Amino acid sequence: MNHLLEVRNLKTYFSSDGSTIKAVDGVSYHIDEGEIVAFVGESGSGKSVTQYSGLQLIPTPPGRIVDGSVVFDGEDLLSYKPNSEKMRKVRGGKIGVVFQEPMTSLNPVMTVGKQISESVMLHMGLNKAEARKRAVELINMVGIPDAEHRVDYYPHQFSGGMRQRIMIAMALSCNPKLLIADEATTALDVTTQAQLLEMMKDVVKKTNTSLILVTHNLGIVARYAERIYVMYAGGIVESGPTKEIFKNPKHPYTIGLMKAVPRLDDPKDRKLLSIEGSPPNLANKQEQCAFLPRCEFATEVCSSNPAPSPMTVGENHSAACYVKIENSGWKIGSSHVAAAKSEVSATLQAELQQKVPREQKETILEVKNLKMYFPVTKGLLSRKVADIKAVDDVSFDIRKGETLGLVGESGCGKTTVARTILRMYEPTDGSIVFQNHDITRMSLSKMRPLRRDMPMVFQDPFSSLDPRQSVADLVGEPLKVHKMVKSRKEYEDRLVELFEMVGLNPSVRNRMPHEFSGGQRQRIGIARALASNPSFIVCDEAISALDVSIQAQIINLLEDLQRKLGLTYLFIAHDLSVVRHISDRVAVMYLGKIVEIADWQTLYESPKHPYTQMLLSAVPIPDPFIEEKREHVEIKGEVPSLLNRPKGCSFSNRCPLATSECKEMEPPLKSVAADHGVACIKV
Amino acid sequence: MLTFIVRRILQTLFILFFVSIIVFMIMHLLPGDPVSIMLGDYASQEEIENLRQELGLDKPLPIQYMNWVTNVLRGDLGNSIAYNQSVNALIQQRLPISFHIGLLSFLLAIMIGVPAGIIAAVKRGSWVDSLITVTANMGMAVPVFWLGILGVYLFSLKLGWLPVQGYTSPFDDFWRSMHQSIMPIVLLSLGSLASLARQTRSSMLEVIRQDYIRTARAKGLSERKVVLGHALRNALIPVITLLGMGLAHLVGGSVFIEQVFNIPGMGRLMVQSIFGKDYIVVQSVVLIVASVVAFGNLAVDIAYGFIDPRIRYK
Amino acid sequence: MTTESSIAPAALHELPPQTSSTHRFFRVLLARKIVVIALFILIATILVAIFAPLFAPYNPYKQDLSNSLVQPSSTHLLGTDMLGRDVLSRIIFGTRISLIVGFVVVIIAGVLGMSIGLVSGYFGGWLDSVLMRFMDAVIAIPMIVLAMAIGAVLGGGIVNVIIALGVAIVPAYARLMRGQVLSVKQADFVIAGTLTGISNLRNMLVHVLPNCISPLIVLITMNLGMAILAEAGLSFLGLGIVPPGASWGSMVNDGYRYLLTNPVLSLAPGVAIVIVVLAFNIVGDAIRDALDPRLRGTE
Repeated sequence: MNHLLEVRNLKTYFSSDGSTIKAVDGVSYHIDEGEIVAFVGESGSGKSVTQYSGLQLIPTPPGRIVDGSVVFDGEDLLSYKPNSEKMRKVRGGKIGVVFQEPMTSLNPVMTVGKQISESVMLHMGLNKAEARKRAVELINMVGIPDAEHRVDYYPHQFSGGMRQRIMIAMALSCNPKLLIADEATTALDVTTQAQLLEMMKDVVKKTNTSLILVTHNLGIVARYAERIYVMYAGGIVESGPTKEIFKNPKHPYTIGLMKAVPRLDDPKDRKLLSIEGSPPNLANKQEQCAFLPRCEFATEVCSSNPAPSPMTVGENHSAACYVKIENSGWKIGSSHVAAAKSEVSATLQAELQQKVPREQKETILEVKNLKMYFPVTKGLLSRKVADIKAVDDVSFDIRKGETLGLVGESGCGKTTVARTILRMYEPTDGSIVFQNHDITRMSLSKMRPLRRDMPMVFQDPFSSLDPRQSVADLVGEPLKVHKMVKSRKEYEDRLVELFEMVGLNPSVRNRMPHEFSGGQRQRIGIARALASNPSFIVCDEAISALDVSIQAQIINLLEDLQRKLGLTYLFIAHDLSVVRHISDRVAVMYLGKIVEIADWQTLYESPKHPYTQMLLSAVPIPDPFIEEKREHVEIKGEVPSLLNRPKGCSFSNRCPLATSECKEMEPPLKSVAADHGVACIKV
Repeated sequence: MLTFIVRRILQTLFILFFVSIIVFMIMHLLPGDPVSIMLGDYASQEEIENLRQELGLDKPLPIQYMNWVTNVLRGDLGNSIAYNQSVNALIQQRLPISFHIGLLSFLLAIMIGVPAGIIAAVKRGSWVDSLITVTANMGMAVPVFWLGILGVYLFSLKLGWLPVQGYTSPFDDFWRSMHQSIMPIVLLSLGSLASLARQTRSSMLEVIRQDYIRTARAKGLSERKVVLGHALRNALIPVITLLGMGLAHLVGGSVFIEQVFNIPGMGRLMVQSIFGKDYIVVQSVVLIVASVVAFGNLAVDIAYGFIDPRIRYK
Repeated sequence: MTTESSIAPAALHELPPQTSSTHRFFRVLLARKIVVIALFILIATILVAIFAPLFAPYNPYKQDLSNSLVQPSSTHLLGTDMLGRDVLSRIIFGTRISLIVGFVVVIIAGVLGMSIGLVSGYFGGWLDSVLMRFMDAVIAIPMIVLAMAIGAVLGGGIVNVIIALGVAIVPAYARLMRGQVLSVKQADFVIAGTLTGISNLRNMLVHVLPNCISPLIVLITMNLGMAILAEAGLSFLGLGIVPPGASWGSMVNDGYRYLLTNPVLSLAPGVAIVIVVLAFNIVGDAIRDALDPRLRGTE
């Protein structure tokens, strides 16, 4: 049988500053009709460029397709000129693409209806009126209410999730045979992500369209894909049926990925095994296996021979590796990741946590009824017309040595909570008590000495380090400001110690931030936070911007530091699996309020609030066997804007349990068990 | 949108208020006494005092300013000493002439500069792009007065196609007017044309690498439709905001063009008044020119609001 | 203490290759031939200005009425003007005026504008509003018109020309600096500074200011050509450099009357203006491209 898409030995190179970057280097794969196939890899692995090469959407220059063939539905796509009519008939007509960035992928000055019609008129030969009708149909199909009216909206009038729905409508508008979703849900919240993926899956299954999911998220792969291609440094390192690969990964990189990803159903003491090092620079790619420097299974063959081409290792399963790995230390089904268990951490944690009951531990931070409102102004005189209640009556406390995870979707106010606690804003109401100091209204100059005890680690490793200061100056700044060292020597010694603590060679300390990779920069950020010897650290999405293998390194680092230095963390994140992994207690926020707070086990294993349940159900688990059996809570609607908060319970318009009662009264956060609060009148 | 327009109008009025202060300060606070400058070195003390009183210059500065502004708001700009007539009358004669030349130059600059920028961006790296870029660079480096002289030398003196100088209103004798004004109009437009072409080119290059252009290509649209249907309108948004600056630049250039071609417009009036020590005229001309530019900017911003739906639907 | 831990041992020996941003800057800057030529022209011009007496064949101010309006020849390469002064020598001495005015104007305007922008962006509030409306007002007056008005009151001469032009271009710097300060103030690394507990002043000087500078450097290079053009313009109108000073602009004007008989009098100084301004613009463009943050880190 002929494949729908067959790619052979594709090579796409980019030239930059005189060197050649081999973004895609000899990739072969195929897709059959009606199949859902995932391309997995970290940033820079070439998974997106591979997809764009076939459509000749590579910007030329600097990119160029050097070699290979792409046969789609009997047509040799690379024999067409990039902008020839034949090529353009395939683009949008037979192959639809959904891009990653919903915010920038639609033309801001054209109505969405027009953008969809344009495609339909071109490929299906409809006239204007018919095309508009089709656009309304499509907008309806992708689940946007009031399509008749919204068809004349401009992109900026939609939320990110809605825009991505429109992108999907556009990609599907001409009944393509293949749909490519390039990290299509990466920028979206987990509930929106689940909604969109379900919808795409339904549509392609109904119409027998093939779907390529390009993603770095192994959970999505496990939940949706039938087959997988794993990419690393411009090449496919492993391919096969989803279950086979998850059960029996054969390439060291795949094995590493599986071990590195935190899962929603992990045992708590599982230690993430990170893949050390960072991906290679593709500009000076060697003839050898690109994974060699990071590989724990490498043998002599690997260093003396060029990288192997994929070899069959099972039915439909191939891996590009010389080594026949029998005992990978990986076993699917979680708790038995024996090798991955950290004995030390288990015992220490047991000591730290189980002996002393929570009530007896010292309270580091206590937040009571915190409110942070931002005014909305309108009109000529900038009159205040409303408040954006970013944080609305939030209370919690953090005890010494524990980690409180604060989760929620974008706009739920979790970051505002952190920033208000750190007094970057003037709180509207409530109280913040930090180490027995009431800092709610403390003057900023009085705050300054306290700051050494409450540093923050930022999300973006690139923008959080001043590009014009050496990393030593950055890490050393708190030491100087708080006069914590007496001599030059003491200062240097402390710097060396800090760099070693976060796993960086101290000899690099006089370099500039731009010379470091994202993961290394995040280590520097952590060293800066540690410099003043604090007891409490706020981590604001500290690992969200990092790739999976690097994420695991940083999570491990944070956990080790906590253990050794007895740190207390406020850990803010949107990734529920990560939060579960690192937190002792977890608070879930929705529209500026905490809807549920409990210790991690209660929250993840028996969540009470309908929103928590929905959120957890939306998170895919990187295990196809579990995903197969899992039941999914249906996700209704999307997060409303803070100005449009439903009356009564904020969640009432999306809640499966909601009754008219819920729309009338705001549920308080009431205690349902010891240290377990839920803001719902139905539990 | 209405709020936006009203706010922008208020802002413009505010700017004009500041312009009036600046103009007043230049004339009254800088060292150099306007009265003695006006009367020359040999005036007697008595003459100076008389003129001072006549112009109200003996009063405290804030009062002087108030009197001046009140008069201006009433539509009375004062009297010219050198011309011996009201400044209003002078400006009524001169302003239409500058408008005639300036407006046509502005249109010409837009009509040629914008398409040239688009072509250069679309054909990036080709010889057409190089030609347009190099020409635009030259256009921005050439002083307009020298360009005028070069034009006179070539087209008037050497080739004899066009008159050396002079101005006729198009309402009096259209063909003669055209014949006389074609060279000033074209030469005045060159600087703005060059800068517009450059701005359009770089804005277009910026837009072409946006995600939504990739989306448009992924739909299978032809390159022509991608450029004209999707890229152009987005690329023009920043260019339009820069048109306001272009206007100021063009008004500046018209001073030189009017000087070279002996066209009795506002620029020439200003130069003559400076040499004639007629400071009331000078301050009026500056005020009028700044108002024209400020209102031009206002018009541009409002047009911008109409083109960009993100502002329209606020 | 650190070795026993499980903390990423591999990261310890992993050293990023040392790269120098200065080196990269020059490599990008000098990548195009035209930029190298423009730089060469600028350096040559600066040398000519400094050593003008060595290059000039005659005294540029020396009048010789018996030798006035001589056509270009081997003794006077570009001929002489109506007062019998050697045109080539005057053009060579003219580079001094052009460069001095150009550099001093942008430096004065740059320092003044940056200070206003820094204050405006840092303090915000009503002070910011007033300062910026004031700048808007200055921008509404076309540069040359404003400079003419100031020049009219102050009188001619190189110092007054510099003051007039400097004032006229201050707003461009103030606005740019303010925009930079506002955007850098929002950057995570500045927030990080605050959260470290450093004072606002230190934050401003150590973290904000150094990160605002590079667009200003670009604007300064781009404005050099403009300032030279403006000086030539003022001098052309007779409101700039006063006789017998040798300004290219006034030379163009002086020669205009003899255009039919001695076109070189007007045209030659103009060519000098075009070459120098063009060279400045090309180098300015190239510096902008080399500093463009979007191009940075794409290696």
